Amino acid sequence: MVGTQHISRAGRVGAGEWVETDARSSARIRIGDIGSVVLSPNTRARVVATRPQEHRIALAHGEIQAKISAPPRLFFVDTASGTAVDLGCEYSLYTEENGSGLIRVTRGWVSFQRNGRESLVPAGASCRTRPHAGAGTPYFDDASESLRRAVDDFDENSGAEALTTILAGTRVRDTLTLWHLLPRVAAGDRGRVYDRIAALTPVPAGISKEKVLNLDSETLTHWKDELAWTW
Amino acid sequence: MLRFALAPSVFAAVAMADGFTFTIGSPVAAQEAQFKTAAFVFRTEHCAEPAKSQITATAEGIVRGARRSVALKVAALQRPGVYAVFQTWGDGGQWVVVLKGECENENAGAIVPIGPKGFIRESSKFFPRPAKGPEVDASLKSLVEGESK
Repeated sequence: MVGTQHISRAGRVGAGEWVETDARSSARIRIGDIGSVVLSPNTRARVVATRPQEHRIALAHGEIQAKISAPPRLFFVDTASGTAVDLGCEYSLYTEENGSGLIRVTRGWVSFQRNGRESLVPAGASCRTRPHAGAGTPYFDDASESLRRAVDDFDENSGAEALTTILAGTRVRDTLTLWHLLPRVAAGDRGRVYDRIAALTPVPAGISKEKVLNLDSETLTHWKDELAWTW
Repeated sequence: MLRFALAPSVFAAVAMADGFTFTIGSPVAAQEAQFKTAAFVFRTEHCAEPAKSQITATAEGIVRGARRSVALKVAALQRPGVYAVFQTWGDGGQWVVVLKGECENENAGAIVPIGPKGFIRESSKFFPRPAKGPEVDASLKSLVEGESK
């Protein structure tokens, strides 16, 4: 459906209008000249904005697959748990009404944001979303099952045992997860996360441990840019 | 007085550690959206003027038993010394990408095997010189035999 009309083939969707698929249908929405979004069955989404500098939809529930070819930060998907910001990518996003869901990126990067907390999810990685908590900690889809379970456990309970399991089970590539944990663990545990990253891959020149432990933004960004060469 | 003679292999290792070489990464390392579909990206290391380095790439493959070679276009990213390689060598067969670089008076080479899920980091090989034909053949043979060495 588009608005209040049943559509069986092609139609137009304007700002403010809802699009809803039933159990047997899917829909492809062309997003200006920058790409498209496919709505899976049982999905409800609303077009919020269709401006040259902002294409935005709100996903109430269900799943979409987005394929965007544009400069970053032109396409946004709002959910109950936060906003997915396209950084030039292809991804799927599933959400329930309460915001529980999963974002999985197949190309490029997606930033999932809520109240200043951000998860950067690169190709090959996923990130759970949670009501009232926003984006979870990303992990690569080929990470061990125990690592993925421990990350979910940490995001739910911030448990010390979960962190220990994470630190023990990470590969070089899982520094994606570790980097995201730096601002999410208790200050007293930050050194353990730093040490684990440093054990997996050399810390680049110019990255000060003190600045990392103090969550210096520029230092963390520089380190992320370097770690990305191992992801 | 104690005197030491370092084995040549130690010097070679030190030279390679500090010399001109490549680092490879997935397209996400590029941080430029237009390169998200690249086969992989790479950057030069220890090159005083990366913008002036000379870089070439070829895809070397075995398709239905026949040896193939495809010259590749190396796309330069905005950051000096960072490049992308796109898959333009076709879908069938087994392939490696051979990188060759020149920076001032130094050379570097790399063999990057390509698997079903993309480049195979663990099997990639790096040299302080262009890769030699037998080395390329050995990497291809490993792919054909389904090994990752």
